[in-house]
Amino acid sequence: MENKKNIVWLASYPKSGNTWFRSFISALRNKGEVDINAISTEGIFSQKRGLEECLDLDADEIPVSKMDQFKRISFEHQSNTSAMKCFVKIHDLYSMSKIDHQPIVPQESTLAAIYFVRNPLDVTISMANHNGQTLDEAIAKVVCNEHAHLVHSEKHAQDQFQQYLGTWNMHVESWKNVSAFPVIFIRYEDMKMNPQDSFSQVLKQIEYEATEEEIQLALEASQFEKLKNQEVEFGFREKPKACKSFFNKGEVGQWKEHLNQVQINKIRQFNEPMMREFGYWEE
Amino acid sequence: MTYVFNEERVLLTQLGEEGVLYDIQSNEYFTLNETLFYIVDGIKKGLTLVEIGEILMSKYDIDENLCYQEIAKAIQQLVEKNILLEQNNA
Amino acid sequence: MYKYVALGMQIQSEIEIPGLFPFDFQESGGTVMVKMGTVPETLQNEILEVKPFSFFNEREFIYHIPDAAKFYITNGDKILIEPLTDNLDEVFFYLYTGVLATVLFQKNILPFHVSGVVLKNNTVLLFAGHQRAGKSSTSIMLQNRGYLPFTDDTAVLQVKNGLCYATSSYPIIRAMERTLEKQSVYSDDEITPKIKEGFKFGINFHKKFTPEQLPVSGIVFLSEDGDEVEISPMKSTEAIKWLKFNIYRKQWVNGMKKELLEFQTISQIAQSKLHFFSVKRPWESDSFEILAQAIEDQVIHQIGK
Repeated sequence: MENKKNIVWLASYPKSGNTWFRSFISALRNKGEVDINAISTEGIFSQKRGLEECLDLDADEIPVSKMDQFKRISFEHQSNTSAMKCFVKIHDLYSMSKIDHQPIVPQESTLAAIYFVRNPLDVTISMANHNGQTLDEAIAKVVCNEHAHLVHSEKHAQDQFQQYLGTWNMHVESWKNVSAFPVIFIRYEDMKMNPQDSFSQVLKQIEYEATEEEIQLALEASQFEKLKNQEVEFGFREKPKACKSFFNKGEVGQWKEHLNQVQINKIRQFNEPMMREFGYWEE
Repeated sequence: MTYVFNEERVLLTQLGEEGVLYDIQSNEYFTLNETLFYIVDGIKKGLTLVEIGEILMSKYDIDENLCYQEIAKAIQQLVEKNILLEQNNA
Repeated sequence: MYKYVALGMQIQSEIEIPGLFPFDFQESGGTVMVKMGTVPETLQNEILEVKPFSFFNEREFIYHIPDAAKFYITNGDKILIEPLTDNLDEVFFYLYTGVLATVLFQKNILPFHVSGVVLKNNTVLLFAGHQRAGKSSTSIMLQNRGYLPFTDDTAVLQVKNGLCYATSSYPIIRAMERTLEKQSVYSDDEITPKIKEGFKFGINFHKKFTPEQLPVSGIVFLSEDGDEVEISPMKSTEAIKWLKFNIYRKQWVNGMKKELLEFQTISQIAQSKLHFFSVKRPWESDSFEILAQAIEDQVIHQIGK
């Protein structure tokens, strides 16, 4: 089978604008229509069901020693059998597999990655809401936690594989250090400030053809308030139980109202390098 | 204008008083509520639209005009989905 | 030669296959012959679909699971096994979970992704759902309440004179460790890790296994939704969609040109004298004991004392 580089990884730490972009792509593909419960991008790297249908195996019965290899194989196949670009969400920190020492994603099938980066001070607030945690818990267990994971327990069934996050800094840095394929960084704050320009720029860099009007229509359809209204009316299947509303506030700078100095200092202590790199280090 | 069931392309299964259609060509399934099932099944059996209308009016307390309007609307949808075919009267 | 039955098929093998149910039978035309050997590089006829670990057409199927095994399955009556590991447990694992289903497809029979228990009136109640919906867990919780296991993971359904019957697969239940912690029926020596380094364990229930076809009283479609366990009857027009979704290895239907067979099979089942139920459970909490109680109260007491 011919090898195709069709995959565009939509990479991010959680709560950084990934769902917004996926909704935008869905609207772009569907002439300005988006259903948050049927977003038409190509799933998430950690999903089990796609792998199961591709490899005809039960994901919970794959030997640990084969897991990373089989994940790569299933995405290679997806890329090779697709007639168009495959936008695949990924929350995993970029790394080499501890099992077979290969990159966790199939590089040969990767066109590029788009990395959505957001101020970790705001990520913390959003994360706390998402997980039904206090701010201090979100800080200690996620944003400043070197061992932070999504999907913790392997003992009972989960629909996704475990995803290693690390601290926000570790996560951003891991994708920044990728040299095997282009990684296009886009700040959430720029997406909010000037969506037409920032989204257009990203599409251009991955050679996704869309007119200005098409982009505008898709941006209108995927506006935060519209997605939030859909959630209120129909629910959102990606929302965890502990979270009251997935599309919560989406604001920039809400950390100034909600975090105290101790919390801010702790987040800065663990995440300084990339905060400086991306303009989040206000003196 | 008369209508025939698209036997070559569609299969019909009755489930209680409703039904399910399978389009062999597009591999799509369609659920039919009671009304739609009576219409499709009636056409499949060669009944005229008047006969189908009489069945529906005997089952439901429905005005004659409304009944035939609903039948016409349903037929249009079913023709669009290639479940029914139009047959010009000679 | 070793003889077995599984999913209504008579299987004759030159090697012992411990997970299957031994059964003596008179050889007939449909007997499935299992041999060891070298799997060919390609199919004899045109390949209709290529996937990472398999390629196939309607009558031939080659599986190649890296470092585990290769299988060549033909005409619904021959299985050729080429082990790529000394660990035969792993080789047989793929036989149980994929190869048997392939044989059925080639025989124009579509298996369903179900577990089930035997009710006191000697009918079965089946639990259908995708991976991780809780089929095995539900079955185990009901076994804790005295019901016998019928099948885990797959069954063949057949409708005769308007009644639906089920035939079981093989006497192994595969479940996650956390589920096994809650079971009270099986001793430790009946439980083994099924795949080395995998997350599931296997329970052998040879002594309780029923190879006979049994009438089906009901099918429960499991899903995760809401904050509490909720059971409701399901109309057959809704059930037919769920049956379609719960065909085992449904991703092969197109590649093996079984679309028409699929419609015919699920139509017959939906039309049969069967009770269908939707059962929802909260997905983030462990609610299987409550679920089992609710199924006993609201389903079993209604359909199958």
